[in-house]
Amino acid sequence: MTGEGASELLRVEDLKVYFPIKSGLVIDRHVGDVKAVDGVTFDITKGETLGLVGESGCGKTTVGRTILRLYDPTEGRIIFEGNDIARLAQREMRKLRGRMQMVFQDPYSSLNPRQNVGNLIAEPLKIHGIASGDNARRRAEELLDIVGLPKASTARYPHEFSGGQRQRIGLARALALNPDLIVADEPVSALDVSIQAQMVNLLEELQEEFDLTYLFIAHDLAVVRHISDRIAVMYLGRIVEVASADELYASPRHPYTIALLSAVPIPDPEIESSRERILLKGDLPSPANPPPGCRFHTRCPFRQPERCDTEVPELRLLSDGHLAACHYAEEIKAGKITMHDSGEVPAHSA
Amino acid sequence: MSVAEAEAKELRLEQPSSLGRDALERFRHNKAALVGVAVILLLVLVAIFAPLIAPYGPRQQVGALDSSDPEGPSSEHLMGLDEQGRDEFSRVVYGARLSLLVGLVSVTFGLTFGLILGALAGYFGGWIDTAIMRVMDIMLSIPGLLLAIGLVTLLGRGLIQIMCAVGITTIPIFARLLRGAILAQRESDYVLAARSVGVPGGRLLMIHILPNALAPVIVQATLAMATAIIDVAGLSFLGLGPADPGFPEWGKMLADNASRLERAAHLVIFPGAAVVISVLGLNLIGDGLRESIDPKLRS
Amino acid sequence: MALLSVRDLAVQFVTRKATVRAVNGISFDLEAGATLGIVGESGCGKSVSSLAMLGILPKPAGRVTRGEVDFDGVDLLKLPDSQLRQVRGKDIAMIFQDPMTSLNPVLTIGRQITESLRKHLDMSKDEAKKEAVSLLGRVGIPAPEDRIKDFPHQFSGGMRQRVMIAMAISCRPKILIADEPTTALDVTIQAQILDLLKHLVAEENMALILITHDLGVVAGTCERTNVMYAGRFVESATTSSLFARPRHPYTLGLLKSVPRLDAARKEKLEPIGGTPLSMTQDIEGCAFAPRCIYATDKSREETPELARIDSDDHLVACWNPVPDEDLPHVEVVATQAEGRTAR
Repeated sequence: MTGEGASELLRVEDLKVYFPIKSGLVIDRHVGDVKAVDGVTFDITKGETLGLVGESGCGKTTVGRTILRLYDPTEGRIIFEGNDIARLAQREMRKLRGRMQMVFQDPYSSLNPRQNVGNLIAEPLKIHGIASGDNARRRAEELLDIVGLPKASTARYPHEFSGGQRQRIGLARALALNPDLIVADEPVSALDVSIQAQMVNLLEELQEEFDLTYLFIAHDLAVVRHISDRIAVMYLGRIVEVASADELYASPRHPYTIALLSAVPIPDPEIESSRERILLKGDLPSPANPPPGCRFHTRCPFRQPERCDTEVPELRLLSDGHLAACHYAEEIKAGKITMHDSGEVPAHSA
Repeated sequence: MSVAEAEAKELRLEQPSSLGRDALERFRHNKAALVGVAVILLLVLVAIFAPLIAPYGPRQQVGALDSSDPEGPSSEHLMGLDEQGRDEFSRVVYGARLSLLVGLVSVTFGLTFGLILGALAGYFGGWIDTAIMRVMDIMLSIPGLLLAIGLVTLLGRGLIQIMCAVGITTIPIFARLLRGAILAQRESDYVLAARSVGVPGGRLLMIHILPNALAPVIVQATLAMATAIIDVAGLSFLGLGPADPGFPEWGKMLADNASRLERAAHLVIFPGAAVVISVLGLNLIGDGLRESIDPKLRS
Repeated sequence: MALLSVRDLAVQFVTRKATVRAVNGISFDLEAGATLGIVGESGCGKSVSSLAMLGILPKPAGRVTRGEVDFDGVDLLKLPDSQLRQVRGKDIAMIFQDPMTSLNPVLTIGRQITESLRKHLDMSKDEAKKEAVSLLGRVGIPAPEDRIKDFPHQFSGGMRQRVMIAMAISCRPKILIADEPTTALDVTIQAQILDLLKHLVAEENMALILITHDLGVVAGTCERTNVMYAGRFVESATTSSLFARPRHPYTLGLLKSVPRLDAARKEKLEPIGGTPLSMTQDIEGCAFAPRCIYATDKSREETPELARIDSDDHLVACWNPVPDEDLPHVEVVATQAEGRTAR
């Protein structure tokens, strides 16, 4: 399901990122791989916000960083404006850096503590020869203004700012080169609730003003739903469902999405007390040793004896326009298959 | 008032403070560290103004040669006379110059090479890292003083040779330290951010990684100076120092008079105390630096 | 008489640079078996207050400057540490946000649980071991007889939190304080842990104080909720009252700034303007006034105290509580998914 009319800015095809596990006495041998991203395909239209959600170990951060070539893909294509950049040499890649930027999760570790804010923001301008000296500083002040920070901040150091302010500095840096695509990796997760909203609004305003395209990576479903046009749900290195933000919530098709939505607490005591929650059993399997067949089958409340543990489900187009990777998506929707155990955690002793 | 205005008002109230300035603030309030600074400052002043402070030259003979019972401290000679009839006080004072020199030169030597090797190993990784670190491991497996002795034997006796030898023993320590610090910083978000913005490798290392990795190295450098003074004193003590008998180096002075402890305790106590006080001062500074630099790095 | 009665607790952190007034006088009662949620953002003092109650403030900077903490008739603040140690872990237990740092990495789980059992309940080694296995089973750890020999790093985040809970309830405490117990966990794991806590509270008739910044979490777990800002409670009510009629502008602001998964998508979120307070300055008047759209001169001059509004058990500390017309009305969007789960 792609956007209509507007052009495709980024397409990722069968992206795989494996991190080798090495072990050995004197010389490290390659004994296995952490399959952080194991065959991910999606696209983003220019001007769109694609949300990428999932829990820890699902690979969403790795996807974001690999798109920017901060990690190297093991397999697959990354097509940015028609060109495959997956295997581009780093020197060539540097020229493209201005077109895609990243905002990081941790405001406390994503800014060099020894650089003052002015230098921090102006650095991309200096390296790419766009501006230097006073011009660079002026541009840095402009950018600070755009993100709502006072111009005097240029002389200050990151540790003098609060978390929310630091995130805005990171945003200013990301905007310095006028990128087309911004990968926002959990940009608000580390912020206080009341500051999160400010940041989310700022991101939306900037998107309008500068015609930005966002890949919004997060684990907070409510925030992702608010800001995204479409959402892709990841589990253990693969995408399990893609749908528009409203559709995903209104009628989730993949069992993991259903369980995920069910687990999100709603700030409403009446609803919370009357909800029937789906509690998944057990823990997330390790990406170094993913389950065979459908990766979710070990915890899936709709799991069937056939196919689920042997055949890897394709991400396919369903009748309502969702993409879902489940062998039995139609049967589940039709009610022919129901949950065979509520997956409730046994809380009583024998 | 808008949020930006309110924040601007808040910022205007204080001076911008880099991490360095903050660390200095904390250092200033650390009493032990200030004592250390005072001691070392005294040492430096004594070294610089030695000719003005010392009443006699370090090799100047004022009393009996080859005395079996050197004069103890008196109003004329504050620290007495040594076994060759020289004024002990003057010798201790001039000795300060040598100790400072020794500390500075050997550590600078070790620091320079150690930093280069550590940076190469930490930044490039791979076989460069493995090769360098194995060599460092081998060096570290030999106890420092023994290594120094071995090197001096190789290089020959003399003050410069000793300083080089001691300097070489500190190389693996600095290399390891810096390599570890670089490895830690390399994975941090701000380095990733710099890469994502297109910062080339060299600049990444010099402007982003190194300044954040140097903190533990600076602390180690001050402590290494202390150790260097002791090591050189030790080497002199063992007779591996300069052959020149009149050399006013504290360790040599201790060595020459170790046997005279009963009769001429002053010839052991004063140079010994000088070594101890200098080392203590450097240690206090090193500890103070560590305490003032660390907290901010963690937050 | 309430099981726990806190009166006017105040805590300060004194450092060379500044004095931080972390808690500025909070009071509440907790009955046996009740569940109380304390909601607030970082720096509001919610964690510090429970550390103060148990006498585990970081020393020497942290100190209690006034107040009483009456537990079963005894003021905990006046107890010497030797007696307080009897209460800690046995009558009042606490679990923290990061189980990795709260568990000793070099001791097996079994050892850590049995240690607590033997110390507080005077059990023999065998009894304690049996009890430990039983506890691990109760908190939902599969194959507990085997896992009892494992070390903390061999458990996942969610499992470790269950281990922490097992340790906490091992001596059947009367009160369990859970400080952001699920903040570091994935949302599906969070749901499991909260469910576990609710079951345990019901089974053991244990009182629960749940400290969190997540409004959704208190909505599903706590009977009463107190909202904390700048070291004070600004609102205290039953959870349903609080969410239906948030009378303090801060509470209202929090509710409006969080996007709700089940509500229609708003155009823009409505954040609370301004930035959270710096706790080092003396606050004149209401701490929230600089960010409050209802603030008046009185708000800036006089500090409001908690007072009844709407009903006997809904308190709010505000000179200009939220009027009826501004109370939130949420348009809930139905979802097919949850309908399917009803059995």
